[in-house]
Amino acid sequence: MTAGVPGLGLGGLLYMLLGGWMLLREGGRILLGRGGGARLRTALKHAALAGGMVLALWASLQALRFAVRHLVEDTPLPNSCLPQGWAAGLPLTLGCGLCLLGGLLLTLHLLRRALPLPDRE
Amino acid sequence: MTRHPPHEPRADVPLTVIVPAYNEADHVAETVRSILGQSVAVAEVLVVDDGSTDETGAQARAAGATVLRPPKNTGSKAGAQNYALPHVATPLTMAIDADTTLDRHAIRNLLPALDEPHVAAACGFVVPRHIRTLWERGRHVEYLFAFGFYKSIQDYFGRPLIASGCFSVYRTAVLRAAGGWPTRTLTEDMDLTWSLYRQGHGVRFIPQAVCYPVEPHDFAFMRRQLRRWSHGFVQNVRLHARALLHIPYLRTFVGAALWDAAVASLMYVLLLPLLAVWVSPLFLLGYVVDAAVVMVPVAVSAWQRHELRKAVAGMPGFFVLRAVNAWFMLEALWTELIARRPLTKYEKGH
Repeated sequence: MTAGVPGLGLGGLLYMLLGGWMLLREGGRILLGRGGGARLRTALKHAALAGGMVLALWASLQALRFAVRHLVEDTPLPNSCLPQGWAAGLPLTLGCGLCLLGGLLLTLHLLRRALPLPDRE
Repeated sequence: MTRHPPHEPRADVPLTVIVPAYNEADHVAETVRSILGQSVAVAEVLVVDDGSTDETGAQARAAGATVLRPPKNTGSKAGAQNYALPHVATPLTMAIDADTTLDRHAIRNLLPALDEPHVAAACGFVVPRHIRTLWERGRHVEYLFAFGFYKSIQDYFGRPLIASGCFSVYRTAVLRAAGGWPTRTLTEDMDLTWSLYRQGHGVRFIPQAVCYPVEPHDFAFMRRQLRRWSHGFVQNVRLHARALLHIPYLRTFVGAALWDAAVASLMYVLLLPLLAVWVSPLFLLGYVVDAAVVMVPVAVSAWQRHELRKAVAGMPGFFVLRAVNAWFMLEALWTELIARRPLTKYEKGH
């Protein structure tokens, strides 16, 4: 089975970041003389995928911005009602996502400290 | 119980395969043949004919399996698997669904993962066997995305979210120590995987070990499956919540999945339609705004499998499936956590 709703939610952002983190981690292992092999190949592949996904996100936002500017300029709605916020750019989109992800990680950390480990099964 | 021992093949690997089956006459023989046709020979194939009213037992026996038949239907997949567990005499036990076939080298590719002593279970890559209807196409894309991107990363960090119940290998001793497959939730595979982590064991995901289940081809079948998966996910989060907080990486994977199950689902089911009606139809683009992002890992996985055209054709199905999935996730969160009416009836579905 699969779990959750796959795509560009918080999960998507988390895995994109982890793809980059894997590469940094393997770089560190190489510097310590413990890198290479299958783990490095996996890290390279997923870092490349994460990079491709960020590029795809940027391209999607550009397309959306174009659509909003040129295809609906005659819409009799006030500008504030148009979904221009979505197309405000990659930094804003990623920034909001990173804040939410940071909040989630912080919440999990605080919960972990507040709730002790139960007895093992 | 009726037990009909087949011919005794020479075993290359100390592995017994358990196949729980309820009215699977259409598929079980193909499943058994695909196991017996592996590039390594297994010790025994045990098909649990769980009170079938069709020819499941006869088909399995004719294909070369040992057939076990409980006195009455056990009520769940886990129940059928547990019925067979005392009959396993090998250090390794494999679980496979009765409608799932294997790539010829699937078992050979999977077993090296269990050479590491701390690893108690290993699972493989899942690809729908038939990719014809909208639902199957959507599922194809979903699996390429989830197994090709999410699960590989989870494995790198030593925490695959689930050893999929449709095809996984376990250490028999660990499985027995855990009490077999748990029956307390609707998704025994997730429950077992998280229990293994809690006991300090490791789980691996091996993408080179490929299996091919029959996926739901219509909405009625898909509905049953998504309902069971959604409720099972929420039940497991509730059951393991406190322990999960102390398992590095897994807590983050589950936390993000739970967030998306709630927030992304609310967006798909409620927010986007309302905004589309009240503000601008452009908000409907929210359903597909991440199409290019999703397509990147999907295209890479599909290209490696020579299925790029099928994957591109499946994208519309993926978005439909995701929206439907969002509905069932919300329904599960509501009924399990708020209304406190847990789903307990196991409905058949991969």
